[in-house]
Amino acid sequence: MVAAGVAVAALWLAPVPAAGQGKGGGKGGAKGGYTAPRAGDGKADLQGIWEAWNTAADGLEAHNAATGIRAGKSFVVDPADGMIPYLPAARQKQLDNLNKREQLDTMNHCYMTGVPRFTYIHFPFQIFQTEKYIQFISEYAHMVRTIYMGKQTHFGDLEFWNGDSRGHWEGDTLVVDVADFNDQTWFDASGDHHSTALKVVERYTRTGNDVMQYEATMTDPKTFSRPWTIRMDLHRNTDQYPTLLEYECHSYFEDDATRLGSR
Amino acid sequence: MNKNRGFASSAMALVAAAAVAAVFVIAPVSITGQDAPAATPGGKGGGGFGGKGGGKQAVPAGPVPRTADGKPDMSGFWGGVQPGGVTSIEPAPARGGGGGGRGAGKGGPPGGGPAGAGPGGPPVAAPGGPPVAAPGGAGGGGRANSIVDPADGKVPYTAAARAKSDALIANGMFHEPELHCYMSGVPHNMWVQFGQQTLQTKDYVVFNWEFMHSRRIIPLDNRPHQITNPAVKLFQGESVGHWEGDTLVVDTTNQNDKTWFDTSGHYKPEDVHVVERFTMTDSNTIEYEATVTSAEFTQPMVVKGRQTRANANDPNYEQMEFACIEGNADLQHYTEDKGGKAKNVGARTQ
Repeated sequence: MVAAGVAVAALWLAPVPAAGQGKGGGKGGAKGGYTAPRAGDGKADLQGIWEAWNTAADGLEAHNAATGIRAGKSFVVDPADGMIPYLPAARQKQLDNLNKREQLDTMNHCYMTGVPRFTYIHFPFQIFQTEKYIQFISEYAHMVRTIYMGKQTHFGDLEFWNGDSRGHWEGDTLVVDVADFNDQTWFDASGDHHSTALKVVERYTRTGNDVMQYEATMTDPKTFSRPWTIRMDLHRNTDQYPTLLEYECHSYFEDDATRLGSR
Repeated sequence: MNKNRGFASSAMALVAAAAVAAVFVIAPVSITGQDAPAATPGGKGGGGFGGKGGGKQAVPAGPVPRTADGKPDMSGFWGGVQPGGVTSIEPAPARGGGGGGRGAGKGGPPGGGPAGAGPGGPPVAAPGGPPVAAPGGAGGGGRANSIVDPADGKVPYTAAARAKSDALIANGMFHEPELHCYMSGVPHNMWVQFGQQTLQTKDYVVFNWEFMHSRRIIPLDNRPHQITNPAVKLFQGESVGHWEGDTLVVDTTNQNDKTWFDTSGHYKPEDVHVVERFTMTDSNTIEYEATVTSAEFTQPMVVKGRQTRANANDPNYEQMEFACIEGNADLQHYTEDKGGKAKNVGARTQ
């Protein structure tokens, strides 16, 4: 069943790279006249501590404020209406999720966020870069994504919270192909969800010394009627000694339980 | 697919409580977030822990590899520090369990799985190094001490601290930090046995463990400690590193009191100051030393051991995702006599 879904998704994915490239960093090196510094292997150096300064974590679509959710504009750049192209039943599920987010959002249980949420939650992540692989380490719940730059095929029969990430360079843009997800994670706090058939293609392009454009295209024929793309800027921590500390989420719940005497 | 990709920690607790062997048990098949496929990439490496076969596939040691700026290059996969102290950092009392290590090895996952990330058995008698005993020999002696100072191999706790540790060992297994999916702290994380991937750049050394995706980020940019207020407490502390010749020296402060030196109850005082020295002696070997000081110790404690390169025979080996808290349904089963909430039922305690 999973294999079939993947096969369908693979076919369906065809138009995505074109769309992604056209609007993203493009194939060339510099974007907007900026040329990123070089890493040891001559590739664009994306290292540093990055964070989204926006409301994508609250909701990717334009939305009102609600308990625990800041109002925000849409980060969906395709389709043009800024809405996630849900199938009807999947839209209903999103609305149900939104209403029950306190219980159902796995981030409220300190679980891994999934991708692309990893990138724009309200916690920074640090990029470490080598020729063979690139690592993203999040401050939240010590999440780690290892993006292998060699083998480009996914497992196909495994499920991971943060998916399986395979990267390659298109000019100075890091392109990451992510698949093998479970269906437990959301895209944001508004209940936006996906199935195990989800595939994500991410594009990271440094557009300035302290700014990186992030773009992600989601494909999941069990949930969406067509692929859709989000875009936003990430910002670099420019401290002299940028420091990524810990947010050991579930340990604080246990501290609270002890403190409040409920244990 | 298995939706419960959690942490079958009861198996760990059993082992920790019983102090069966230094060789970590291999329950992790069902533990990991990867459903333990027989076809783990690189799963052919390593014969599990405590097995004799680990050395068969070893890649012969060469000279110390160097980075572009001439430093020893520790990048790659490493087994945890041996002898370390996964179950107990102190010498195990004789329990007649000398064969325990072997037994645990046999229980390893078919086809490698997470255990493939390990060293497949440390070198038994590499010349010139610390006396690393034969793997699997923990229970009944034969394992070299992790703690080389004091000479008796025991944590130099003050009397009050020793009493606290004894109480944890007897009744505190519910509080075993890894059951709660906490990162293991310093230096404990260095002997976690599920495989470690070291990433090294000019400015950073990063340790990533498959186990619970714990990580340590060690900046090498000559920064002073950024956290100077001792009231700030972190699971992995704040580490800063620098090179002294070919030795990486790492200074770690600001740890919390939620982690232990092992899984048996030798707790780590929260005021510990840890200085670690990593010296690569050939392409397959890192000699490890940690000096731990605390007001709850009667003297500084020195731990020595060795890390051995893992998966060198498999250039395509990859470390995978290990979910922990996401599936941890185990804590609720801990009974009151171990510090948990479940009612004791007859003699059935864990």
